[in-house]
Parts: sequence; structure tokens; C-alpha cells
Amino acid sequence: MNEQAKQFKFVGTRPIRPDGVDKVTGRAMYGADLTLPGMLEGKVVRSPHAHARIKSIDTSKAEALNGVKSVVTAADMPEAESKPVAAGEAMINFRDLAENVIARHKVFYEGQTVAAVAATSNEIAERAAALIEVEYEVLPHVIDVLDAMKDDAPVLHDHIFTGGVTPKPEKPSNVANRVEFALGDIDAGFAAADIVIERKFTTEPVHQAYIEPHAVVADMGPDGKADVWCSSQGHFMVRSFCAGLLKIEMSKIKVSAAEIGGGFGGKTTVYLEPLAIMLSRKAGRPVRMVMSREEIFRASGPTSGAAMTIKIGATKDGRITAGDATLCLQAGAFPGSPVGPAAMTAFAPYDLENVRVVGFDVVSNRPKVVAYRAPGAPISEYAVESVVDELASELGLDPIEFRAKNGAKEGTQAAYGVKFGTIGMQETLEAAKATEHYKIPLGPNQGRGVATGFWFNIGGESCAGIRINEDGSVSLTEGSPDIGGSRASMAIMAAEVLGIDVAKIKPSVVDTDATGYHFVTGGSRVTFATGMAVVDASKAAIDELRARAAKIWDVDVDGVVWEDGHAKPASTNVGDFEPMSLAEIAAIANKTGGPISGHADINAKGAGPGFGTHICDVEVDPDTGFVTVLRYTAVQDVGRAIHPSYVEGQLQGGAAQGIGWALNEAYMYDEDGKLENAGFLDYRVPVASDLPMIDTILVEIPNPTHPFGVRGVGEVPIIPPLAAVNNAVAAATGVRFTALPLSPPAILAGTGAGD
Amino acid sequence: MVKVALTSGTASQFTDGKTEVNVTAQNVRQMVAALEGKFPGLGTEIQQSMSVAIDGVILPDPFLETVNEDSEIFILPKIGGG
Amino acid sequence: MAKQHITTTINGEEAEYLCEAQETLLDVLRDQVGLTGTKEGCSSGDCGACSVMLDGRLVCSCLVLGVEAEGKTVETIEGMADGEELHPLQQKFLEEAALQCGFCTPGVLVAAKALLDVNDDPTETEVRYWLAGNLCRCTGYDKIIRAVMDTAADLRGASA
Repeated sequence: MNEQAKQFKFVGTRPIRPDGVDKVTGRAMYGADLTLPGMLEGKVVRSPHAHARIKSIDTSKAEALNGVKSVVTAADMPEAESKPVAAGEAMINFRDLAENVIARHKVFYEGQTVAAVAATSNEIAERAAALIEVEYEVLPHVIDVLDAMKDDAPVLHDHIFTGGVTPKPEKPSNVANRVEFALGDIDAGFAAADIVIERKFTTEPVHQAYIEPHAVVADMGPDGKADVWCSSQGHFMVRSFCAGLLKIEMSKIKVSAAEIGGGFGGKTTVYLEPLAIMLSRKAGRPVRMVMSREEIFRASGPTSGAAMTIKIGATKDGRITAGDATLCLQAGAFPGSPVGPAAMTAFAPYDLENVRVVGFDVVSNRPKVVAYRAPGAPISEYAVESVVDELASELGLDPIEFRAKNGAKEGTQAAYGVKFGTIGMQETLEAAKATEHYKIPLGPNQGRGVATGFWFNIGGESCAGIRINEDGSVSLTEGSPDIGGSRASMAIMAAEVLGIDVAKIKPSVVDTDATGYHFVTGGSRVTFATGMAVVDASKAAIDELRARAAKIWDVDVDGVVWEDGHAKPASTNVGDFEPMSLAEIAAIANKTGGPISGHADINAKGAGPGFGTHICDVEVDPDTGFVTVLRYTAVQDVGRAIHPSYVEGQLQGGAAQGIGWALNEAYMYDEDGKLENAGFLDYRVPVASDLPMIDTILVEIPNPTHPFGVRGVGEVPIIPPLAAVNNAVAAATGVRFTALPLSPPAILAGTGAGD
Repeated sequence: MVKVALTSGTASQFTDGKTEVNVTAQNVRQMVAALEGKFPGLGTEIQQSMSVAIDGVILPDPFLETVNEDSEIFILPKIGGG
Repeated sequence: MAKQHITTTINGEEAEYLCEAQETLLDVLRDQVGLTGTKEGCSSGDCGACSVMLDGRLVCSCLVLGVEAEGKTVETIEGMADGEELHPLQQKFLEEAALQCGFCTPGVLVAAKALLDVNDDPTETEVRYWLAGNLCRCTGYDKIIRAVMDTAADLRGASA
């Protein structure tokens, strides 16, 4: 059955989300909302230094404090083995993960965990944390990525020798890895160009800045079984990492997914969870840990800052002949920046014969980066899209037409090697060009910028269960933490396949004991992959419903079809039977073989690549350098919008985050390597008064591998805004800026108005 | 024989710079084993930290998928996401 | 230090609690009264997730001490719906998908209700500035602003 060819009854509609009422009434339970009897509060002791050797840790005074029930240091944790694991975006080493959870011999950034304590109240826990005495030998530190690459830079890790180069280096280095992707002959490509533009760019690290702090409640009993409740993008990830770090069998750790108050990639790893389990194990009581906002900024996230060189050549008639990029990305304290995806996506929106991208993964004394929405892509595509825009401008070509002329199509070989299947890059450009927005005349000091973005999207492991209840209602179970309304999409897809009203289906994200392994909610994969599992599980349930109808009618199961929520005879030859509804079959399930259900456990393949094109209008105040975003339109190929409101929401939210990245957000360090702006007052995410309405256009080029044509949509929309804003500012000021954020002082420095 | 394309970075590390190599295999498992035999370390690297794309579809956990001489095969880094 | 005994009115009901002098109203609501709908996002008054009404004034409960509620009235998200009947803002937020993760939603709703209580016909700019103290990282604010304005229009229509 080809689902894509059918007219849909529920797919594409906008029902109220099943978890909605709980979320507008304050009933929804997030990470910090659980209280257990006898629960202790846990606090973390963090490094005040950017780089130091830990000489000793004395916990005796803390342990002697009345009300303190347990203290944990690295000495309590098993030694972790060195092995690569997938952690959200890139591979990271398990030993590094262990050290990031709690430092063993050295601290590599200000804010790194050194010890943790649990006590009967927050206040006592805080006093106890202050009583833990750590003696440090402070070491020279390095913050900036280019400084960290210098020969005389302080080396963070003696065991890191630059990978990806031959011969293997003899000296340890902060450059953990080199990647390279190349196609064709770039020298010949540049020789054929009439115009070549080369520019150097920088971007600053930015934080995912989910509003809900990391939070966990862990309860480990004397039988060695642990119950963990936490806010994460993957409770199976939490189980797997905690089991590995603490050397506990997975079956002994049950993780329940609290409602999650935003993640954006930042909750695809563990920080507090293993500590909470250890504190609970030692105290014999449940322990809650919640990060403060300051701790979130200093010790979790962010994504990489970067230094990049981009060179692109084109002919007079607007054909790009070659692209060359060098990307240096900060990994933070341990290897594993998103330099791989940054390099692969840099030129991916274009059909180019000659490309080379070289990337470096560089450690420095900052918190270890973690995934942030399309990790790496906003960074590299910002730089490329800024040069593409400048080329169009120099050649006197419309920026959308220039992109269309060079844009990827079905069959285009991307710079990272793979040939694209069905994609919607050209369609998003056409839709953007056709908007009213693109035609609105601009006033003085105003400018319009356009940019495109590409992201792979991924599949991965997901499971789903459909249980047909005795009254004909349906319980749907899966294990992908729902950040932005995915339970609504799961219910819609199940309703569409089963042919019953969406309100009859109750979707739940169940704990790690109740379903199979799920990869994290990340990579824009949930509606695609978990959705695919839901469709398969629904079909399995239908097969069972058909079998039951066949038994009731005493016919062969092949003689029964499923249509509009009813079992029907396939033809008059089968017999003259009244169709039986799902509820009618369910009501007598006990007589036909017992409860009816369908299950699917899959590793989804064939995620469809996503493309978006954004248009941004800005006005730049010539006196203050302040940039106001006047209008914004986000166009994206979404494959198929299951619940269009939440798809639009992804585009709008991604655009807002990208605008923040472009205009406001940055990590700022002092000379001692300490973060100076660890709070929302000084790290300014966009507020309501900073933004205009964000118009969306959903282009639907169905992904042929998904039953409903779904492509991931969550990550693409954060990619184009950086360059769209940058290009708009260039149009408004006549200056091509090459560093983010475009803060008022930076604008004034660039336009010369601040002199 | 199947043709396997490597990124230039991987090629410089394992195959003396050759970005296209040929091995005899009927599925990914055999292909990875053959690559390891021919270019020591490459198969391990693929298993630990790389994806295989076959005919445009990126597979993060490739193993049993069939390959033949018409397959377009690329070895590339694993992709996750936020 | 001896705890202080506080008598106050929360969501229309008299309430009593014991709290330390330094405890915030946010901590008291969440940990002692059991009203966890009010969220903690920053503890510094920057994110608005802990917005509540104190004697009819919109405040960040992380910037108010628990003892300051003595003799006053506190309104939280838990008091916004009338039993099973949602407040029009709550209903509109659901219909227009004006939330994603939902963590900022209680604070946004409390703040938005405070706006509509004093201004039944706010402009987009007024809504944006009124809610500028309520951070949302998921939605880009678009659907939130629309939902507040659409609710205001509905309420004006209903009372006209």
C-alpha cells in the first residue's frame, strides 16, 4: 500500500497535542519536579581554574557536617576504558566522557566537576560543597582555537596526537583530528574562475540555552537497582552512559523520561546522572540534583566557536567553479567538535565539481562542546553562504537565482561523496523568490539577506507498541523524549494507519524497562524514525485485527482487508459480512485469542536530507550599530508535515536561535580563562521584543523512504539565519562582516561610524 | 568486485591516498573485512566511527546490506545531530 | 535559625507554611506547598519561568522571599483554570500550538493574563515588550504573540 499516494484524514491536520493540557496547567512533570520520600539534595563542587592539576581532595570536613549523607569524587568511580562512543553529534571517547562527568587528575576548564555531595537540604549541601578542600597546581591555559593550534600552546592532553594525518605525529597536540573532503581539482576550478573571493570568518561558541536546567532524581537501593528520573534527549542514552561509567548492568538501571524543557542537542549526554546514582548508592536514599543557570553556562553545552577560511570562484555568467574551505572548530576540553558534519555540509547545498574542505578538531580550556541543532552546519554554512552572497553581489546577480543556478538537485554528488536522491533545494529557492516578502521595497539603512541551509537528518533505532484496549481505544508506547510535540505526530500517524479517530489514541513516552533501545531525540529523527516504527506497529496490529476478523467469519485471513478502521471482506467471493470496527473486534478479543497489539523495533534508514532558504530584512541604526530584524521568512522542504503547527514551530524556533547566534550570543572569557557572562542577563538570547513574526512556508517534497514522506525538520532552520542576517547587514551597511555576533560595537567598528 | 569511495582524509590515512578502492564482497560485513585485510586499520575505523552510504542512503550501522558492482559506496564520518 | 510561620492566600485558598528567612517564594511554592507548575530557569529574574502574581502584581517568584508573602495573595499557574475549564489563554495556546517544550509556558501564561487584565486590546509591540521578560527558546515567540492577541480579540468579542 502506498501511503503517500492516498488522501489523508489526519496527517496534515492540527489536533491539540495529547500532552497539552498538562503543559498549560502546570501539571506536567519536568526533571526537577519529582520529590521522593527521604530525598536528599545534591550539589557539585566545580573547578575555579581553567587548567590545573588536582593535587589533593579533602572531603573530611564536608562529611563531618550534620545532614551530609554522601560525598563522591573520581576515586569512587570505576576507571573508564578508552573507547569511542556516539554522543549526540560526534564520536567521543568514553574515558573523556568519564572525566567530563568528574575530573580525575586534572581539570580542563573552569566549572568542571571535581566532587559532589548529597545532604538533607540544599542549604546544607551547599555548605558541604564549600567545605570540600581541593588543592590545585594551576597550569597555563588556552582559550582561543587558533592560539590552541600554535606550536607553543599549552597542551591539554599528553595522549592526543593529531589523527587523520600521516605519518603519525611524534608530539602531542591540541589538534585532535584532521578531516578532509575533496572532489575534482580545485586548482583547475579556480583557474577557470573569472572572480575569486577569499575571506576569513570567526564565530563564537553559543549555548543551547534550553530554559529547563539539567535535573535528575536517582534512587539506588541496596539490591543494586537504580531508578533514574531525568530530563534528557534520550533516556536510553542516560542508561547506556550510566551503566558504562558506573559498570552496572543495563537491566539494573531504569530511566524514566521526565518532560523535557528544551534540549536542542544539549541534553544528548550526561552530566549529573552518574553522580546522582553514586550519591544515592552511598547514601542509601534518593538524591535530586539540579544545575543552576550559571553551572549550565560554565559546564554544559555549548557548541563550537570557529575560525574559518573560505575561497570560492565563479565565472561571469554565475557558475561556481571551485570551493575551498578550512575549518578550525573548538571542541572544548576533550576531542569531538562537530567538525566532520561542518566540513560535509559546508558546500552541500551546491552542485560543484571542484571542492575541498579541510577541518581541524581542536581542544582548548573550555567546556566540552555538545550537539546543538545541526551540529557544525550553521558554522560552516554561515561562512560559505556569506561568500556565495558576496559573489552574487559582485556579479550583479540575484542571490536566489545565483543559488538556484548552482544549487543541488536530485543526482548531485555532494562534496562529502554521496549522491542526493529526491531533495527540495530548488523548490525552496523558488518558493522564497515567489514570496511577497522578497518584493517589499526597503528604506534607508535597511537591507535584505538570503541564505540556504542543508542538513542530513538521520534515522536510527526506535520502537513502538500499539495496544488495542478492550473498549477500542489505543495505547501507543514509544521511547523518544518529546521536546516539541512529537507525541501529537505519533498519534496522528497511528490514527491514519489504523483508520480511527486521533483522539482515541493515547501516546506515551515510556521508561527504559518498557520499550526497546531508542537513539536520542536528535538529528531531526523522531517523527521520521519513531514515526516509521509507529506505522509498522500499527500495521502489525492491523494484521492481528484482520486475523481475528477472519476467525470470527471463519474465512482465510487473506480474504480480510482493513479500510477506514474496519475489517471488511476483500470481495463478495469471501462472503457477505458486515464490516467489523476496531472497537467491535477489540470487545471480543478475549474470545479470539487474547489481547491485540502490534509492535515494531527498527533501525530506520533513509532519512531524507533537508534544505531551507531564509529571507531576512534588517535595519541598522547608523549611530548605535544596533540591528533590528524587520521581517523574516523561513522556507523549508519538510517532506510531509504531519502536524503543520509544530513543523512551523520548528522553523520559527530555529530561526530565532539562529538570529540570536548572529546578533547577540557569545561566550566571553577573561584573562584567567573564566567565563564572564554565565547568566541570561549577560548572555542574551532573543526575547520577544527582539524579533518580528517569523513567516513560514512549508514545501513538501515527500521523502520516498517514509510511509508518509516525512523528512526531519528540526535542525535545518537554525542554519540559514546566520548568513541571512549577515547578508542583510551587508546590504544595509555596504560592509561585509566576517565575525559573529554582529553586536553594535562590531557594527560600528566595521562601518567606521564608531571612530 | 565492489568499488568503495573514501574521503580524501581517510584515503591519506589508510590507502596511500587512493580515494577509490576495489574489494570482493557481497555485503557490507564482507566489504569491511576485505578493506581491513587490504588496508590494516581501515575496517576497524569504519566499524568504530564511520558510516557507509550505499546508493545515496547513509547507514550509521551498516552490516548485512548487500553490495554489488553497481552499488555506489561511500565511507564517511558518522553523523548524529542535535 | 528558627523558621518563620507564614499565612498567605494561594490561588484563593488560605495557606500556611514554615520557611527560612532566605528561602525564595519560588522555593516555597515548589518544595513546601507542592506547586511545581511554577518553574525555575535561572534564579536571577532573567527568564520569567517563575512568574506569579503577588497581590495582583506580576513578579518573578525567585526574586521574592517566602516571608514576603505574609498576608498577601499569590496566584500561580495552578489557579488559572477553573476546575476542568481552561482559561481562554490556556485554550488558545493549545489550539494555536503556542508551546513546544512547555517549560516557559506557565510563566508566559501568568504574564500574559496579567497583561490582558490591564489591557484588553494590546498591540503586537505591547505584547512583545510585556513578555520580553519571559524567555522562550523553542518557539521564536511567533505563535505565543499570536495566541495572546487572538485571545484578547476573543475576549473583546465576548464582552462586546
